[in-house]
Amino acid sequence: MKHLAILLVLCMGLSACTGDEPAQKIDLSKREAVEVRDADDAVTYAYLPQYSHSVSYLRHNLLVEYLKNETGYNIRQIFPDTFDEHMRLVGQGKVDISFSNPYVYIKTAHRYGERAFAQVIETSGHKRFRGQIICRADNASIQTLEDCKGKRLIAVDLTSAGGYLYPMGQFYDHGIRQEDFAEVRFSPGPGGKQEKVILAVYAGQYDIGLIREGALNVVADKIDIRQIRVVAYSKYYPGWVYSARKDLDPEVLAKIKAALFKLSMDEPAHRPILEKAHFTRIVPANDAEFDSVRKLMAVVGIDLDK
Amino acid sequence: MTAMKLGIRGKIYCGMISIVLLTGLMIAVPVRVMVERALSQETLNKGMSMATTLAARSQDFILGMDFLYLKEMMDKAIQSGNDVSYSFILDQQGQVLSHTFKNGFPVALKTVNPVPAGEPSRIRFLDTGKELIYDIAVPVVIGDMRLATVHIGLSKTRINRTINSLLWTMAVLIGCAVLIASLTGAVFADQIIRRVQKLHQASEQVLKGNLNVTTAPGLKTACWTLMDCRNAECPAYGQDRQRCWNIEGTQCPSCREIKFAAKSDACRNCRIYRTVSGDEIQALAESFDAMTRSLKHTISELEASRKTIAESEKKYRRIFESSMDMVFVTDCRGRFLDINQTGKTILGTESAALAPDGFSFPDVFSSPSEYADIQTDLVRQGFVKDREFTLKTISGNELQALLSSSCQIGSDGELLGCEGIIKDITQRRNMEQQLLQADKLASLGQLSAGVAHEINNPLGLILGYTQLMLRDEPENSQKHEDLKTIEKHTRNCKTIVEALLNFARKTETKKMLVDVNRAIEQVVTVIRHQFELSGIAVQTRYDPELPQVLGDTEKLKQVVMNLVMNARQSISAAGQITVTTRHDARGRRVAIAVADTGSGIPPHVLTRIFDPFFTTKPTGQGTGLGLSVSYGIVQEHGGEITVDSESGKGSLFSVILPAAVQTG
Repeated sequence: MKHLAILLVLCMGLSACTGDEPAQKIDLSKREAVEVRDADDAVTYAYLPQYSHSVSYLRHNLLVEYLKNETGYNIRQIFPDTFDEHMRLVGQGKVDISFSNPYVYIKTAHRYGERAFAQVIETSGHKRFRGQIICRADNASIQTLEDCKGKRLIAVDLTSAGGYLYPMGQFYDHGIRQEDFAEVRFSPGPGGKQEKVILAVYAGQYDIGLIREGALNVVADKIDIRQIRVVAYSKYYPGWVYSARKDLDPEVLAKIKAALFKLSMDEPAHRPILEKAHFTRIVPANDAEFDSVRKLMAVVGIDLDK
Repeated sequence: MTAMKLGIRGKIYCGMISIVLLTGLMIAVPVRVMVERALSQETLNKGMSMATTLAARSQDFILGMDFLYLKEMMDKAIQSGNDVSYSFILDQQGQVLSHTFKNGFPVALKTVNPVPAGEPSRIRFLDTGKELIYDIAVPVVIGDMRLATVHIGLSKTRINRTINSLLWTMAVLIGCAVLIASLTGAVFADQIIRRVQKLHQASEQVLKGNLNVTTAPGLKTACWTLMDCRNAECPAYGQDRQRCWNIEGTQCPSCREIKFAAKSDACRNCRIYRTVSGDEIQALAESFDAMTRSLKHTISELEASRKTIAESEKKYRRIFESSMDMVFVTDCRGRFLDINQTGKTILGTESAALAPDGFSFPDVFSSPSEYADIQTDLVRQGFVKDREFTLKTISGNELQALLSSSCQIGSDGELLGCEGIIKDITQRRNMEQQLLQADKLASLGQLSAGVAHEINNPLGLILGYTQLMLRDEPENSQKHEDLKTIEKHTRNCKTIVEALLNFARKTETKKMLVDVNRAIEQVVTVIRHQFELSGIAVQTRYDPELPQVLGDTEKLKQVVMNLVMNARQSISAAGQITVTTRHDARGRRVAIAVADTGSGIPPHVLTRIFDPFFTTKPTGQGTGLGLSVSYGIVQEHGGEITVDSESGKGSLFSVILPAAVQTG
């Protein structure tokens, strides 16, 4: 009986054993209200959200930091969720420096008086770029633009240049109109819209997709891009453009322009900034350089006032 | 308080419950630790995954300053699991971007778990006082730029509740297992106890002497059926209760040569043993039965041996006790361990005890030197044979005895004890002495008779011529007086010569039937008056049934007269003389005893009193022929005369005469 009692005590004792590690005492009773922070007084820098915010951040954060240091202004990158929001913020004067595609620029210039002041030379060495019409590589039914008729189509955004306007112009050049497709949809927002188009085609959700050239490389680490086939390229059109709010202080603009034009791949300190932004150089530009795009928009039937 | 003792049932219960409890404990404790670790780890993994997901998903909303969406994400995180206590996001400046607390943000949480640069995450175990919380912090990183830090709070208390719930479930299961174990134990215990009790009862029966008990059940399969054996000579053949390995002399080729003592081991490899042997209790019961059978057999043999030994003991005891010699056994110190009845009689002990305290073998010896000599020989050669010695009885009397003894010598040469026989040869020695005396007296008698015969004739002539000469001489003359003196002394000489002739039985004896009592009475009548004048009382005790003897009345009266006169002379002043007659019917003898209260006879002259001319009286007061003549008369009548005397206490003369044969 004594042994049994010892055993029971042992059982109870061992059952009480736990593996708790020491805990740090903390007092949660002292509380504070979290304030909603107001927008500070800064020069705002917005990158048209053709990619996700994080990609936008990764590509332009160093550039923004560089501009801060070069100009001495408090320059803050803001992240609109959609092209429309970008344009809306531009219209509301909340974007001082806008880096957008020619389509958005033409619209905002038309609507809000944005002034183009610089263009970027991309890693391809050109300041122009083009769009791509893609399908799944194993989709044998699509070999030519004609084959695209009656197919489901997805594009980046109605306001996307490389992801809608330029490749759609290519269809129009071949007599294929928007109504010829079984379905035309745009990538759901916010952000990451180029990737979403590629992924939608990759997944077979849509037969053909419209993207800007180079977007496939962005998703090369996510999918096997060999499964994607480029059906056709658009013509080359002007590339992305820096524009300034119409009433931006000229001095501020001048300092920013100077800083941007100063960037060089030959400069070790500038090289990572440009590489991150996928630029090789930033060169001066003016509004007339985008007239070809204005014509294309007219062909496609885009109303700049809408 | 006496500790309660557990029986087999209790021990089995305790054992099974202990096993179940111990097993349960051995399972529960590691399971609890494992479950706790697994749950904690899973919770942490879940929290880490949640925080990592939140950090990844919140990047764009942080960049886009979409606090509403961030808040929704935080709230959804909290709703995704019961164990998520809180979530919040801190920017790089430590400002709260979003959180799930309802009444303001706890200030302490801002700094409690910072994630060092380069670290992917950090977990901190917090005690809020109400609950234990794992704070999981994961930085929101874009490229190598850190935007903010997501914190998820996971409640350990809730994990503990889950663990406790699990433990309770296990406790209930263990309880059920204990119950089942107890029931199972009861079944096994009953079986075992029933069989053990049967063994116990059987052992008690054996203790009471009943060896006809059987504890093992009958055989379901016997060796002879298993082996298809037909050997009726095998003792195991036909056995339905005994296992063959418990039977001696089985005839199987495999065990025929094996001795019974080695069978229990040798048979273990046998096919029969492996096939039909039972469990340990069965084996115990079979061994017990075999043991009782063996015991019974052994006891029977012992009984027979005991009977034989008892008969032998009885026989040798009878020899021991009926021996006419003293037989004894002593220990190493000479103390008597056993003495037969004759021995006790010789030693003079009347009690049931062997001998009085302190009276041991050495005390038997009258002379210590004799004992020393005999003891030396005993130790040296291990025995002594027919060694004569003087034995001293308990009362101090001395006897002549022969000792034959052997001793037991131990391995170390020490004396262990002695056994021996003592033969009382006192009577034989006395007989030899008497024979010697008789021979001596016979020789003296022949010599005396020859001399007396030669002297008797000249004495007759001298007396004749003296009487003739007396006639011629006038009385009162000198010559007449001289001749009277010659006649007187010649007559004295003639009396002596006649006595010598009587002693030598050379006188004529006229035998007839004699009434001894009457003859004695005639003698006593003559002397009583004269004796009484001297203060000596004479008592007579006649046996009225005394038979007559064939003899010469006058000579027998002379014997009585001589003995009475001797008695008278031994009493210096007053005293008593007792004359007794007795008939020894068995020996057909007549005994005459003359006892006095006189001075007795010294021992050193006791053997010479019947010699002719031996006297202790002064010269001229006795001839020394009285007892010699009496001796001769008694011898002539076919009897014997003995004396028993103790100096200072008196003497007893006994005359034994053969009774006359009654004819007609």
